[in-house]
Amino acid sequence: MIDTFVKVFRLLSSDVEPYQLSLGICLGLVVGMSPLLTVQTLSVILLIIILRVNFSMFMLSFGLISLIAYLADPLIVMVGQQVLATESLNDVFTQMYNSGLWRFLNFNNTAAMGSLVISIISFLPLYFICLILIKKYRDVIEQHLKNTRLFHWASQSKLLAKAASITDKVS
Amino acid sequence: MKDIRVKALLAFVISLSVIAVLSYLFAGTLLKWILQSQLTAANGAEVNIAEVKLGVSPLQLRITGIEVTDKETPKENLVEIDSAQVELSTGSLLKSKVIIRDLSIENIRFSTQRASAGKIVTEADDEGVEQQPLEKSEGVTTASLELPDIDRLMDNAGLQTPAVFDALDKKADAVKQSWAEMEAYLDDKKKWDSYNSRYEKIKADYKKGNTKARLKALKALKKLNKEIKKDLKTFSVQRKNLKNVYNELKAAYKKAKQTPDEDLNKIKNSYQLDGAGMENISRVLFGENITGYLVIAKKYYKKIQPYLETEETVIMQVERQQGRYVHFKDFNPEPDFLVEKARFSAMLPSGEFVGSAKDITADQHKQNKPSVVKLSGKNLKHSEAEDISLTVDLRSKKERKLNFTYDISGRQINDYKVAAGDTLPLMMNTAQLDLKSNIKYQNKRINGIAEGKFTQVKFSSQRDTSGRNLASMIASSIEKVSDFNVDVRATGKALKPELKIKSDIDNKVNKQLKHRFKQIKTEYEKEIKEKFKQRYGDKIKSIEDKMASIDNYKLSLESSQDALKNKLSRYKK
Repeated sequence: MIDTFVKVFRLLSSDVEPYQLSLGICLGLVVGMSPLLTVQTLSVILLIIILRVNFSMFMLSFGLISLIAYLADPLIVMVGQQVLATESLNDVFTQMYNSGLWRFLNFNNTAAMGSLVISIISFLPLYFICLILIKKYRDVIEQHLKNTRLFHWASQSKLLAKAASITDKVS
Repeated sequence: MKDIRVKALLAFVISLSVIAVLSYLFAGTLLKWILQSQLTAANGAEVNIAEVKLGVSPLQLRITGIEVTDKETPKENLVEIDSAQVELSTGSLLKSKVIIRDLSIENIRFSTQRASAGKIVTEADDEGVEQQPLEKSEGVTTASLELPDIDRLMDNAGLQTPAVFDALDKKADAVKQSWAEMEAYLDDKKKWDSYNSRYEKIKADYKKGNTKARLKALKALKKLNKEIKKDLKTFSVQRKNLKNVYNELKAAYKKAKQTPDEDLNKIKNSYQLDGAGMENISRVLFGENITGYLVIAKKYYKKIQPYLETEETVIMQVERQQGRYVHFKDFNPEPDFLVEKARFSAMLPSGEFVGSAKDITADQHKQNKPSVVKLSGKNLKHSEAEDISLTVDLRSKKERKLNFTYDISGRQINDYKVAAGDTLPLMMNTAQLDLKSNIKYQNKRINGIAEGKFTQVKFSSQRDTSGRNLASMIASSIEKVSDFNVDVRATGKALKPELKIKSDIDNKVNKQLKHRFKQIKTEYEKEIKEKFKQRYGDKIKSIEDKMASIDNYKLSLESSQDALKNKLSRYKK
């Protein structure tokens, strides 16, 4: 837990571009929301490997969102059910259903569809929110924190440094 | 480009290419391993595959050298297949459906020897198919097939002849004794001489004597007269009694003379020799084998019963984070598993069979076609042709239908055991069979018909056909039959059908049997009479003799009585 916080603060304070951190969070959301190992998930993982996305932030986001997704599964399934049952989209879905490729992509699975819809809807807002927040943190909060005693204590604490190094080695 | 990890992209592309190449190169080996392990687990004993080849366009698998170990006898293969080629629909696989466009299985063989014993992975599962006792065939029973032993029959019949004749014998002895005594009395010379000498003396005394002497003579005469009268009275009473006893004896004898006939009837009634139950010889002959086939059919029916009778929809439990699949209108509905076309050839002990199958699937409603399997053998070892066809129609959940036909033409039968057991062991040494059979299943009920025509038949029985028991009679009659038809019908509940067996062999056998039966019956009855005579003839003869001698006594007594009268008339003067 401490290690996670330390990592988050280090990342936020590092010279990693804010958009890389924000994209890591958002792609973590996409993979974490998806309950199945689908082609979509694998494609996102491929993007993470190819693009300069912050992997640590992706892993943090993925872990956290997976936990939330597990708890929110009924909601995700309900969203997928509602989308697949939308009358106006029925023709589109019927066409997709008769295509081998789309069937292979499990589009007609309520959990897969629900997670995809939630991911798509929340992807851009979350990206921009995270981007703004990271910039704000670096410009305002980080400067303010550097002047606090807690920050001084934490940065000089041997215990925290030891814990951070151990977790670094392990990871 | 600064936002793209070029090295990572290259590494990914190279890794993917290597994986793709390796997969293609080793797909066969990998599939072989997967198939072997899956089939072994399903079979419960080792399954070997020599080679698996994967073709990409069209997607097809060629599997060669399939050996399925028989878990009962691991040194043998349950099935051995030279090669099987499967052509799959790629588009359907993307939809998680296994659609086999074409399946070709070559040279299926059964019970072949393995190079080495196959490993058994699980214990042979006892499916608990009840070994049902064979249904007892009605008609001729063991007891009715044997003529009963005459001695035993006579012992158990409760015959009256010995007792009646023994009693009569005793009575006749007594009467005879009385007659003899009476005759002895009449013929008592000493007594009559004494009476005579006394009478002569009285007469002499009376003639030459004085009055006193005459009175004395008269007194002596009176005494003699009294004695003679007394004797006569005794004789008269005895004679009367004896006459009554004699009449009783005669009446008893008259009645006793009917007893042997009554006893003979009793013996005849104690066994059945009327040929009852002989009218369904065909059931006796073929019932055992046919019920045996029915037991096998029931065993297989129980295996397919769940597929034929499942009507309830299985509700799948949705697991968390798995969701459920929403189905839309399918323009080209396909079953989850389908074999569109299949061809196969099998080498059976009777010869080579070639078969084909169409639309093999459990989701027939999607195709709206029933599954059809056909199998035919030509120029077989023992038949001219054999054709088997099976149509399984599962389209309607309420009315699941099955139609099975099995036609045989020119089947040569050699040494076929028609009926086993000690009662009537019968062997069909040679015959030619033409068979047409059809079984229809619908709504848990079956309607099966099998019509067999047997020609050039030669029966043989281990029984002595010249014997007089019914089994020998039947055997002798059957041996004369050279052709016959058998008509078997099984109708009703699939697990408990009513079986009817008809054959013109019944008429053919019965006609000969009745004639022989009549002959045997006459002979048997004659034998019973002989045996009866042997046992009781002497006794009856002795009574008859005694009765004759009693009659003689009666006659001699009557003559003695006349003589007595003459004698007595002398004294009256």
